[in-house]
Amino acid sequence: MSTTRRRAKPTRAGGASLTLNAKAYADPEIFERERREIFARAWIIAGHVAEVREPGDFTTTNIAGEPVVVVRDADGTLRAFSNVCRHRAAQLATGTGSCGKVLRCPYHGWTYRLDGTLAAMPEGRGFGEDFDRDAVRLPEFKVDTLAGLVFVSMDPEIAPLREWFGDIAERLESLNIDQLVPVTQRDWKPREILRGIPDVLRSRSTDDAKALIPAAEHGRWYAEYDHNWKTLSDNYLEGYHVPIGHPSLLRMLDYPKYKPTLYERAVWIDGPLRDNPSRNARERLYQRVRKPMPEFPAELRDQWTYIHLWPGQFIDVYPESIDIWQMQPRGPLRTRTCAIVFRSPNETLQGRLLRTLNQRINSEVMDEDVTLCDGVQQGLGSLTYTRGVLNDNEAAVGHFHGLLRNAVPGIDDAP
Amino acid sequence: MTHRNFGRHDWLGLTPEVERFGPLLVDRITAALGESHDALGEARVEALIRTGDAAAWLTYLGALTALVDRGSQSGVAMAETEILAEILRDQYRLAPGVLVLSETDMARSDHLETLLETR
Repeated sequence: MSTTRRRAKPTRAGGASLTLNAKAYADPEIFERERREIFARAWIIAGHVAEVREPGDFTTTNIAGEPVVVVRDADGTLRAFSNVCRHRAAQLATGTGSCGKVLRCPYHGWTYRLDGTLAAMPEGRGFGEDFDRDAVRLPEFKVDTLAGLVFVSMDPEIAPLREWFGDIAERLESLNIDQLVPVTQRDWKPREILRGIPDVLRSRSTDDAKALIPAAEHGRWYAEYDHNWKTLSDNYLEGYHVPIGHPSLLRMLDYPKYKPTLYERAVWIDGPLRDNPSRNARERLYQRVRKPMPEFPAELRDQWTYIHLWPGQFIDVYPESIDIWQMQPRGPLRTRTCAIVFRSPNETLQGRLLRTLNQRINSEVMDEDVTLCDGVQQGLGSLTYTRGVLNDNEAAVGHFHGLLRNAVPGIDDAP
Repeated sequence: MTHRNFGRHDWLGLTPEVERFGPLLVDRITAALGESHDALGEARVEALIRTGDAAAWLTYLGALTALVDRGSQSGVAMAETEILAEILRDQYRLAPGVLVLSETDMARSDHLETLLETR
């Protein structure tokens, strides 16, 4: 497999790479440009292929404020549309499911065929004879699938999906996500999991364990942060902060072997797991019972793998589950994340236990990251800070900032 | 995968245009045909909305479609017949969003589409 290894290009001759200007993390004008010049021109994950297998099946997503619905039409063709009714802008579809033969607006009942054309609207004669209903249709976007995932782009001129992602497309295919199924609320059964297994999982009450399971809507797990989407992305992209920000993670991850590989529009980070047991009972149990899903690629079974796909989508590849989470920017200082967790369709009780242990371990890491990002976001607003400098271990951040500079010319020019 | 379950009352969202224009159109077409409007008129629509269900509504639309056929074949009250045909066509276009159409209903829908295309 050929990979494109690139060093982040220094922005100052002879020196280390520099971060973006701090103003780019809060400026409303830059945020608007990012919506139009980055998110609207990228391939964005909308869901899993299993969600849109049959005619009428649909899934929805949000591309930096643009509601999108992907639906399998009557001919079996996958189509993506603006999920905004042309009448009064209500969202036509929510979550995932089947809409049957038409998309019907839940507000006033405007009804669209699965090719995006308007079939009819209630009380149609009330719009007058001059109203050209045949001219009404939902704006259509590009849609394609890769590695079991449905991607959408609002850019009619964008390169084909595989070409756009380049060499990493093949590695994504190797993850066999197409063979997995999305985890729903029903798949988290803490009472069942906690019954009959070591005290390490009973360190909290069953009610506490339930509270650890976030609420899901349609198989999506949402969270909201008062951070710019790039603050969260920067944090994901580097392991330099792991020894300081997540010291407990060093018991699991073999930090010296933590290695990012840079692609044209992606980063693949290998995080090998240590062979020797952790002193922490929960981590030790995870190490002891760790067994990959049958669908899991053999070459990744002894590591956690982190993948970034431009602009703001991330894949956490664990031997017992694969999590996909996306940045859905809401404003310069507001980001919603949307996660889909995938498991084996033949998951065993052991697999479920592993997923629960992993969720416990990584939810603590996530809490630490949120605290760190809270501090960074405040620091980026400082009158005395303009930009920082990047370590070799932060090469993926430099790479990301390079992509941002290319996509939004002038993003770095803020005074 | 969750499949769409239509709400039991969703079909009522179809009724306003028929209730507003249907009775007058039925009166005029049946009068021109020399028929009684009792079975299809205002009282029937109102009763369906108060006490009917989706199946009864589709049965009513079928009866109105038959009236459109009789009107267009006889050549009387052509303007009213065409307006009623347009309203019914929209009913069948909107219906898949709130209920499941039978093959008979879909045949009626196709028939109205053809009728209006060839007018």
